[in-house]
Amino acid sequence: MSNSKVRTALKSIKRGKGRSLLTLCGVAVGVFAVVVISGIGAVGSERITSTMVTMGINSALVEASDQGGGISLTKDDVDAFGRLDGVNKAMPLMASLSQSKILDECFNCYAWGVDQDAKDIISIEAIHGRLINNRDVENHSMVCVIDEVLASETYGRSNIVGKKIRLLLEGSYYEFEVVGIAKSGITGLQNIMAGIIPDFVYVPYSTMQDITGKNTFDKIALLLDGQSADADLTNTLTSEVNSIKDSGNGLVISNFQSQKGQLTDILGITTTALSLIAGISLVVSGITVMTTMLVSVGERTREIGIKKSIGAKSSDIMWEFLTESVLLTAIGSILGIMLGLACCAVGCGILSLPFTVPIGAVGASLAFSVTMGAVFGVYPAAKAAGLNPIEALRN
Amino acid sequence: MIKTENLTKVYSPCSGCSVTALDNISLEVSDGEFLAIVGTSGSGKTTLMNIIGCLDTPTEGKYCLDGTDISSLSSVELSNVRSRKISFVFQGFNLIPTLTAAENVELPLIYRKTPAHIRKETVRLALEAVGLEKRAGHLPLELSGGQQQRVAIARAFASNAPLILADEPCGNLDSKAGESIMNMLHRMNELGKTVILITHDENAAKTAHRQIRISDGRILA
Repeated sequence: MSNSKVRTALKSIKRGKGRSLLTLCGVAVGVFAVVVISGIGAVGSERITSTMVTMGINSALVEASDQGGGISLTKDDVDAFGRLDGVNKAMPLMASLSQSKILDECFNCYAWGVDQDAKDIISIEAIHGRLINNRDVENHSMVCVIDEVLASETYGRSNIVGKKIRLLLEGSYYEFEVVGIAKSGITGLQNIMAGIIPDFVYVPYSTMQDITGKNTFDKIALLLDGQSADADLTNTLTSEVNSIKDSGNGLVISNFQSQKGQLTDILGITTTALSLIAGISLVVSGITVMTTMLVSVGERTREIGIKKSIGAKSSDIMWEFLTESVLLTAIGSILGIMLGLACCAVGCGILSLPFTVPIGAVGASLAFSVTMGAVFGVYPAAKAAGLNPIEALRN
Repeated sequence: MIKTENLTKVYSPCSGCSVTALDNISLEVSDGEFLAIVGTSGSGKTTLMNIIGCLDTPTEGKYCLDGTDISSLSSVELSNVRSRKISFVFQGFNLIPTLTAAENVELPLIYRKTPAHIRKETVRLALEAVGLEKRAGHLPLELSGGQQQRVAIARAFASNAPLILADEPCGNLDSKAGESIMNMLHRMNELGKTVILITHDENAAKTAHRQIRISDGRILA
C-alpha cells in the first residue's frame, strides 16, 4: 500500500466527513463491545487465578462422581479419611444454593455447612468477629459467618457482627446471628459479576443437617500434608477413600486447581460467547462500510473515469477503494480499542482491580474488523475498477 | 504515428437497433503533426478521439499507434498505452476536485510509478510552464476556467506523452483564455508532441497544420 494511495484514501474519507464519521462510529462501537467484554473476562480470569493460588493449595475435596450418585458421606467417613496417610485434617462440607434476607432485601447466596477447621482447609479468614467454632457445631447454633461483600451490600460497611440475617433453607427462612465476617477471596470478581456469582454464608454443618434433615454430607474437605496438585498423592487417596466406602470409583478427589480450571473455563466460554455476539456487530459494521463505499463509488464515477483516462489501471482503482475501506475499519477499530481499554481501565480503577489488557481480543478484533473492511470493500472496489472509462467520464 | 484503416464503431443501445458512430475511417497522422478534426455535434469526432485515445475499441477496422495494433489489446495493455503515450485535454477540464493543482498534475506520474523526487520536480516545471506555479496548492474550484484548463495542460505536459488529444479545449472558455490555451498547445507541438485537436471552432482549426472534416461518422473529402 503506497503512501499516495493512503493519502488519497484519507482525502476521500475526509471528503465525506459525516458519512465517514458514522461508519467509523459503527466499527468503533462493535470493537468497543468486544474489547470491554473480553476485558471483563480477562480481569475475572486473573482474579480467579490469583485467588485460587492463595487459597487451598493443600486442600482437596472428596465427593461422589457422576456415577457415584448414591454414595452418602457420614461423620465416620470424615474421621476415617482424616486418619489416612497424607491427610492432615478432614472436614464435612455441605453446600446449598440459597437466599439470604437482610433488612428485607433478598440476595442469592451459597450456604456452606462447615466446622471449626474451615480456616485451615478452605482458607477462610475472619476480618471481624470469629469463624464457626467447635461449640457452634456441638450446640447446633443458629450462627453464621458471612463474607464481606454481602455485609457491604446490605449495611454499607463490613462489620455487621451481632446483626441477624435470614437464610432460606429447604423452603423456609431461618434466622441466624452473624458472628463473623469472612474476608472474601474473590471480592473483585463478585463486584464485577454481581448477581452472577452468589455471596457466601458459612453455618455450622450440624445446624444445616438439622434443617435439611440429612445426617450425611455432600463433600468432605481434606487438608493434605502435600500439595493437592500432586497426582500420585490424590490417586492413592482416591483409591483409599473408595476402598473405605467400598464404592469402586464412585468417589473422586478434586483440588482447587481443577475448581479454578472449571471456573476459568466457564468464564472463558461465557466471555467467548458474549464476544462472538458482540462480533456480529462487527459484521454489521462491515456491511455499513460496504454501503458507504458503494455511495462513494457512485459519487466518484467521473473521478474514476478521469483517472483511467490518464493511465490508471483497473487494479490501481481497485486498490484505492480497498485502501479506503480498510483504513475506515482500521481507524474505527483503533478508536473502539482505545475507548474499550479506557473503559476497562476506569472500571478496574473504581473497583481497585489490576487492569489487564486482553491482548488476544484486541488483536483479534482489530484483525477481524480490518478483514471485514477488506472483504466488504472488495465489491465496491471491483465495481469502481470495472467502470468503463468513457461512461464514467460522461457521468 | 497513427494509422487507422476502415475504423467502424457501431453502438447497439437496444436489441435490434444500432447506431453507426464511425463508418470506415482511414486516417494517418505523422509524428509532430498538429491535426484538427472538425465536425458538428454528433458527427462522431468524440468517438474517434476515444478510439485514438485508447479509451474505446473499434467494432471493426484496425488502429495502429506507433506500429502497435491497438484493436487487439486488453484493458490493462490499453491503460499502459494511455499512461505512456497519450494525454487528454478535455472541454470540461476533468480535474479531480479534491486534489490541488499540483496533485492533479502529479497523478499520471503516480500511475506511471515515477519516483517521488522526480515527480515533485516535474510538477513544478509543468506548473511553471503554464504560469501557475503560485497556484500549486489551490483546489480546482479556487481557480478560474482558464486556469483549470492550464492545469490540465500542465498535467499533459508533466506526463510527457508524445500524443496530446484535446477535445474542445476552449469550449468552456472566453476568447482570451481560449487563445492562451491554443498557444500552449502550439508550444507543446513545437516541443515535438503530436497534437490532435477536436473542435467545431473553425478559427481554432485554422491554426492546425492540417484539418479533416467529419460528418455522420465519415471523413469528408
